[in-house]
Amino acid sequence: MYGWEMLSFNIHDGFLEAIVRGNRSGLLTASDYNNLCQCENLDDVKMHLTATEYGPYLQNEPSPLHTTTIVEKCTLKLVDEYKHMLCQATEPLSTFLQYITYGHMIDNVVLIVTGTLHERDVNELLEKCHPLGMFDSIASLAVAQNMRELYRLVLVDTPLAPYFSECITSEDLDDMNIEIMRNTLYKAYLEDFYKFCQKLGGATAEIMCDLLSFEADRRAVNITINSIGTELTRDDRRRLYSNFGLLYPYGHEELAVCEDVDQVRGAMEKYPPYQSIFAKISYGESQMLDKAFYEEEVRRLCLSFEQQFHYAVFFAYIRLREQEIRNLMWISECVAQNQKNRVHDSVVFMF
Amino acid sequence: MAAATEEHPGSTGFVPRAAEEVEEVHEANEEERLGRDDDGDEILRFMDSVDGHLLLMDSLSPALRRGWIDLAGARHWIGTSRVSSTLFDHKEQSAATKVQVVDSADLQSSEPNPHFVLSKWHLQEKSNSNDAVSAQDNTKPKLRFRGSTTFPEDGSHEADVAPAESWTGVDTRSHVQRARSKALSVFGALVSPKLRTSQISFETALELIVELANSRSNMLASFFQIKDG
Repeated sequence: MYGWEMLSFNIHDGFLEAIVRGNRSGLLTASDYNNLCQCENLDDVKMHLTATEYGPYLQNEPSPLHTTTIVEKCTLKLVDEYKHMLCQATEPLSTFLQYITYGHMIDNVVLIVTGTLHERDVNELLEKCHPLGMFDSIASLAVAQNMRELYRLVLVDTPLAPYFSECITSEDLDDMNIEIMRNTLYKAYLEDFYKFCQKLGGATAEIMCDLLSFEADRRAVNITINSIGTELTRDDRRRLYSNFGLLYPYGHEELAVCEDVDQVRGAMEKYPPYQSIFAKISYGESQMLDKAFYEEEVRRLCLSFEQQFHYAVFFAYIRLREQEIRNLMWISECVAQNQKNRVHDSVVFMF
Repeated sequence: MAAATEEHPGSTGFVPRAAEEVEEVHEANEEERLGRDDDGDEILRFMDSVDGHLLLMDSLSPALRRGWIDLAGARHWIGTSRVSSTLFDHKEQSAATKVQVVDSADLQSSEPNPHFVLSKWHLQEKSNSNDAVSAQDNTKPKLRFRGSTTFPEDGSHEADVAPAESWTGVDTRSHVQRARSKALSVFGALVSPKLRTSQISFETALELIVELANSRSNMLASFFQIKDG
């Protein structure tokens, strides 16, 4: 133990840690995934999921099912579990749990702003927002014309307000500016979450800082690969990387100048934890990189359950559920498209 | 007497008649032979167009399957809310890719079959003068040799694009890349490589569909010619 958590953790947070460890045992196993991978259609998938903890959420859905319906209902289960934990949490756990949702809040803000730019109906956009990232005034985002208005009219009263200081401009919102805004907000959020976890100290700081560093490094790689061949300049790219993580600062300097996937590989292979990730993919290829990163993330998240009396188990459980929902989405898509031979391309098994 | 004179080859009055008859018979035989040859050519052309049509149908399904699975992969990687039809742009804008139907009335050929021309990424707007000529050239079905694939399976398009006469290959490629990025920008400026791969697969599928339409048009024209003949 790091900071004598064993003496005092259970006073306020022991019950919820027990709840989350119980919820963890409800995650789908390899046997469940094998059954799902052999389904012939989405009704079979629904039938198999009805026998799991997702049963109450899917059993009343009428046929024919769609993959988005499966994802929505499974997400509802995650939201219910999260709200159940949040309403019973005390400080600082309640703040920690809220931090977990700020990423979804940022995605929802960007979704509304982008959709409004494309003259879409706000109600249609609200239906597509992630439920974990909803806040009261989210519908008002549609009236903002630039980032300054976005901040002044809506976001100043939300938890995202402190993250806007680096991206408030009067420039009109266009696709590139929105993308830069998204990544700048996420960078500020990750850094804030990192500092919060460091202040908590103990096992929470140790494990969460490792998980958040991996998240920051993965985002740096994604930004690099996704921006190859686009108008994003090297300086702008460099500014989107977080100021922490294993790759900070020298890895970021190399990633900022990469022009193809092989150069990214060259920069990443200098770091032993990422050598194993890039060893799984062949040269010039980036298609399987997402699965390799997800597998490494799941490995680290599962390891966090090996220790007690820390908050990282809550973060790990939410992330593992999200990975499970991604797995179900992929399996459903492969079944619906009759391409079951591709199902193991992206399914990541846990525990 | 008449019979005797007909049989005598030296008689001037009767040899031409016999020769004429022989010539007429020969001409009739020749016409019949040519008619059979023409029918044979038409049948060959029809079977060739059916074969081409089936090959194109076989190529279309894998292209579409690649596109859909890559699209699902992109949604899996960057999130279902970021790759969604909810983000499609409803603002009025000109289409980057168009299909032009060249009617038989526009052509000098007497072929009744319409022809479809695909203009991708505004490129053929720069070479509109060549469209009618190329359409005219393409209406009369030619015999195709098996083994000459129309489109590569890996979806690469740079060789298939028909640039304007004044554009270089580099200009065309950079224009196409910019146009593709602009089309994907509805999902964000930084999108997954899988989304780009999916876009190329669907682009290939679109070309195949237009080619299928032309092939079907040629096939029907050959069929009607055989039926009428």
